[in-house]
Amino acid sequence: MLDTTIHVRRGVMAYILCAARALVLKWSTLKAGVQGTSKCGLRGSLTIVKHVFAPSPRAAKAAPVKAAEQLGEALIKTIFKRQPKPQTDLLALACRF
Amino acid sequence: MSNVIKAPASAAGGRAAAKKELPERFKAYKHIWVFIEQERGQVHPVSWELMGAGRKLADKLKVDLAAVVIGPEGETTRTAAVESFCYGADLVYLVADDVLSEYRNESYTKAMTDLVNIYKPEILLLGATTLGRDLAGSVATTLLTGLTADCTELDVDADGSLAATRPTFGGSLLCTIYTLNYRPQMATVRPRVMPMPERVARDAARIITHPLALFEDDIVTKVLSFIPDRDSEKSNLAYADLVVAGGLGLGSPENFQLVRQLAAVIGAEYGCSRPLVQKGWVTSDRQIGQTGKTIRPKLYIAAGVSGAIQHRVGVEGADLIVAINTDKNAPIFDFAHIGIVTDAILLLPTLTAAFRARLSPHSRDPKRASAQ
Ligand SMILES: Cc1cc2nc3c(=O)[nH]c(=O)nc-3n(C[C@H](O)[C@H](O)[C@H](O)COP(=O)(O)OP(=O)(O)OC[C@H]3O[C@@H](n4cnc5c(N)ncnc54)[C@H](O)[C@@H]3O)c2cc1C
Repeated sequence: MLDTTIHVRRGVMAYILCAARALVLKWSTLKAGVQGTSKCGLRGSLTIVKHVFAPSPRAAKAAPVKAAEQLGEALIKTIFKRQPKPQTDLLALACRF
Repeated sequence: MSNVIKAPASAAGGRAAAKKELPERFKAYKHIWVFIEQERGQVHPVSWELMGAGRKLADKLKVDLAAVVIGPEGETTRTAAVESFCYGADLVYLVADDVLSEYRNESYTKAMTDLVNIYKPEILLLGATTLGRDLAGSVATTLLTGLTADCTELDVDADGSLAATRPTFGGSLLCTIYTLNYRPQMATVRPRVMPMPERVARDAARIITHPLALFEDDIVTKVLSFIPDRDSEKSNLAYADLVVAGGLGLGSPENFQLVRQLAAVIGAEYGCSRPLVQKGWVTSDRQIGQTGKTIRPKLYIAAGVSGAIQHRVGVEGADLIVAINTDKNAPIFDFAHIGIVTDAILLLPTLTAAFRARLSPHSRDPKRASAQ
C-alpha cells in the first residue's frame, strides 16, 4: 500500500479464489441483509449508514476569467487578487535564484 | 470542520434520532482520543491535523482531548507526548517500552486496546496512513467496535454520536456513518483532509503512563531490518503550497509536459487525475484524489481535469482552485474559485511564459511586481 493513499496493490480476486480453490457462493442483496440502497449498510453491522448524499456546488460559482489577448497575464492578476500569498512566495523563490 | 464537502444540515441522525439507549456497559465511555503516530522518531503531521479536529469535537462535547503516544522508551517518545500539549491535548496517555520501537501490529494493538479498556474513550481517531490503517482495523476488531475509514468530515451530535462522513459507491456519493451501539467510535482520516492547527507553545500537563503488558517473546513477528522506499520522498505533493495538475483533457503525455513546465517555473509540485496514472503517463505517487493524495495548497491549478467527485475530495481543501477547461459545464467549475473556459494546451505555455516574465530578474523588486 502506498503511504497517504488508499491504493492497495493486490492480486486479482478471481485468481486469488482460483488459487485457493475456494468455493464461490453467490449472495443476493436479500441474503446479505442489504436494507435498501439508500442505506447501503448490512443488518447487524457495527456501523450504521444514516445519510447518502451528493456533493453540492459551491454557493459562489467560479469567477470566470474572460478570454483576453494576454490571457496568461490576466489570469495571474486574478489569481494574485484572490490569493496574494503565492505572489509573495513566488517572489521569495525568484529572489533565491 | 474542514472545508471539504459538507454533509447537509439535515444530517443529524445520532442516538436521539434512533431513539435508542446506549447499552449500559458503554455509558462510562467519555472523552476524545487521537493516536499520535510516530515512526522512526518522527510524528506524522496527520496526528497534529487530527488533534485540531479532535479539539473542535471535544469543545463541542465539553470533554477532554487526549493524545495517545505509543513508542519506545526515550527522548523521542517523551518529546511527542510533550508536543501534543502544544496541539491542544488536555492530557496524554503514554505507553513507552522498547518492545514498541518498531511498529508491529500485535504490540501496538495490545497497547492501544489495553488503554481503551481501562480508560474508556468515547471517540478514537487515527490517521489513515499505512500504519494507522493497519492499527485501526485490528484495534476495532479486537474491541468489537465500529470503524469508519477515510473520513472527509467529522462532527458530533449533542449526545456524543460521531457523524463520520466519507465517500461511498466508488466515491460518486458521500455518506454519513454512525457507530451507535458500540464504543469507542473509531474513525480514520487521511493526511491533509483536516487543516493543520496552529502550534501554541504550552507546558506539558497531565501525562498518564501505562505499562505494556507484553514481552518480546510473546510477539511472533520480528523486524529484521528497515529498508526505506527510496521513491517515497520524491514528491511532496500532499504538503506542497503550490500544485499544478493535468487531466485527460491534455490529450497526450507530451502535452502533460506543459504542466510540468509550469510547475517548474513557479516552484510547484505537479499532479494528475487518475486516468493519467492508469494510462502510464504519470507515476501513481502524483495522483490526486480519493485513491491518490489529498492536497491543501494555497494555489491549485487544474488543466483539463473534469472535476469528478473522486478528484474533488482530494482538492477541496485548497485555498484557491483555478480550473482550465474547454467545457463550460464541467463539474470542476462547481467548486473552482476561478474558471477559464479555454484550451489548456494553448493557455499553459502562455501562462508559463507570463509567470516566467514576472519572476525574471527585472521584475524581482517586490514593489514593482505587485504594482504590475
Ligand atoms: C473508486 C474510484 C476511485 C477514483 N479515484 C480517483 C482519484 O483518486 N483521482 C482522480 O482524479 N480520479 C479518480 N477516479 C476517476 C474519476 O471518476 C474520473 O474518471 C477522473 O477523475 C477523470 O479524470 P479527468 O478529469 O482527467 O478526465 P475526464 O473526466 O475525461 O475529463 C477531461 C476534461 O478535460 C476537458 N478538456 C478536454 N480537452 C481539453 C483541453 N484541450 N483543454 C482544457 N480542457 C479540456 C474536458 O472538457 C473534460 O472536462 C476514481 C474513480 C473510481 C470509480
